[in-house]
Amino acid sequence: MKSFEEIEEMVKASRVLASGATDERILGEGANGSRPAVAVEPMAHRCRRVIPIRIAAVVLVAVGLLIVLFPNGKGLLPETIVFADVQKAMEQQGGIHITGMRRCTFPAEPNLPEEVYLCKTEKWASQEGYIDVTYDQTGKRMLQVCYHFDTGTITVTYDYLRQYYRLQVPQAYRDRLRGIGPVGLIETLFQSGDAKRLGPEQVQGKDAVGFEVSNVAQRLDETVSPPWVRFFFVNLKESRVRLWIDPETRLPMYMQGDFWLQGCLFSDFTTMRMEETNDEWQWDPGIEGLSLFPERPEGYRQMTIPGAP
Amino acid sequence: MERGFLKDAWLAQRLLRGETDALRQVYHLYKHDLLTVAASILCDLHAAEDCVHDVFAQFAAGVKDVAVDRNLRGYLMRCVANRAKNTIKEQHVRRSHAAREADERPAAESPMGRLIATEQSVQVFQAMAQLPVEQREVITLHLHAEMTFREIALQLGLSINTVQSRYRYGIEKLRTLL
Repeated sequence: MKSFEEIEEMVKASRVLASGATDERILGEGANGSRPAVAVEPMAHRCRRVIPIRIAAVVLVAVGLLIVLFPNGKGLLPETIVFADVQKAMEQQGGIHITGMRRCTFPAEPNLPEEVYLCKTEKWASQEGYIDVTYDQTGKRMLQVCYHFDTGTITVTYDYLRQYYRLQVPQAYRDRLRGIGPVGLIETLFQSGDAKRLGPEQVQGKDAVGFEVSNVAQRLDETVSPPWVRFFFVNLKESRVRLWIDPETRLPMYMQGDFWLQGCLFSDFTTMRMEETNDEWQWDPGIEGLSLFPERPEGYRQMTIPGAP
Repeated sequence: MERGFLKDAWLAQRLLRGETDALRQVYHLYKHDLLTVAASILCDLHAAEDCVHDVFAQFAAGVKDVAVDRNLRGYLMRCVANRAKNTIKEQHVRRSHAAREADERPAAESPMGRLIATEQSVQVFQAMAQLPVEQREVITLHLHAEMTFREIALQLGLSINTVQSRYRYGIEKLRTLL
């Protein structure tokens, strides 16, 4: 039996092409069909008049944009990319390694100034699990989060605090939480097909096409997060994610996120704005040698949080 | 094919200005897409041709009243899908394609003589014919008209969950047929 995606491709590929005879029948281009042809005589008599200078302006803008958007005269291939193409391309990859930058801003509070931290990030993901590491600007590790999908084991290592936290996700939520990895997150956010389209635009030297969603929390709530995950780990408020696609490989190549977190573990139980840019994507790197079950480092304290899962 | 909002906006502008050949250009630009949408829902090539013809006739007659600002293609796709569904409701498609071919039409005028579809496309249309029209419609609007589930839900006055369910059930059924 063919896969769901293969059937979608087959349906997409099924086409009806009009021959000259169909054109003649519908438009009456030189032949008489069984139905009267569509009248294509001039319609100026029933159309509003448009100020000539306005038309000229529209023409100039349109021509200018066409030159920019269609430089080779053959149309713009990236425009045809839909998210299903991206999903298919991602499915053919074994894993992903992503690096980027993260800017965390803690807004000013009474008696507390605004604090801004610039961090480097590194993520690995495969069918087995997901690792997310945050470094400070000197390259020193600050935080590591690991999630092993099958066993539902989440391990958080706070290097700055020298603390260590591990929990077991209940069986019922394990599959849903696969969506917290980068590929799962991208699918969760964009697979409904209603993301705003961006570009094509020059991104890292390529005519990339983009997708943008702004109701990130709602999308995650609907598909990934049981409430306790949301309120404990990543309590998102207004957030927006933009994803740019490599027109040649159909794979994500650049992602920008602007997240507001409130009172959760990732925001130190206060309000935090997290702006993240992931600009280096290496597909299918393998995560051999990396542990999804890191042990508690020497001298680290087991973290206990009252009321935590 | 150059396709997109900008071209649509430009064509719509020309239509509103009453340019003689704008409608012809619109037809030639989107005819294959529109015929495919109609054929996918009606599963009948002749009826698909009639459907596109009717939409263009209406479009030509009422173009000044149409609120087409940017997405002319999307607008036409929705018109064709609606017209196709109405055709089914009106029971204009009662007979199989084979019966119709054998009927009153001369061979030279048969849709198979005018419309071109690959063998695989015909297989897909035959399989689609076995789905309820509601599933066919959603699959066609999503895969051929490139509408999002949210847009389809708005268009059909359904919840997004219903649209997604129809899509999923339809594709699953096609998996057993193709």
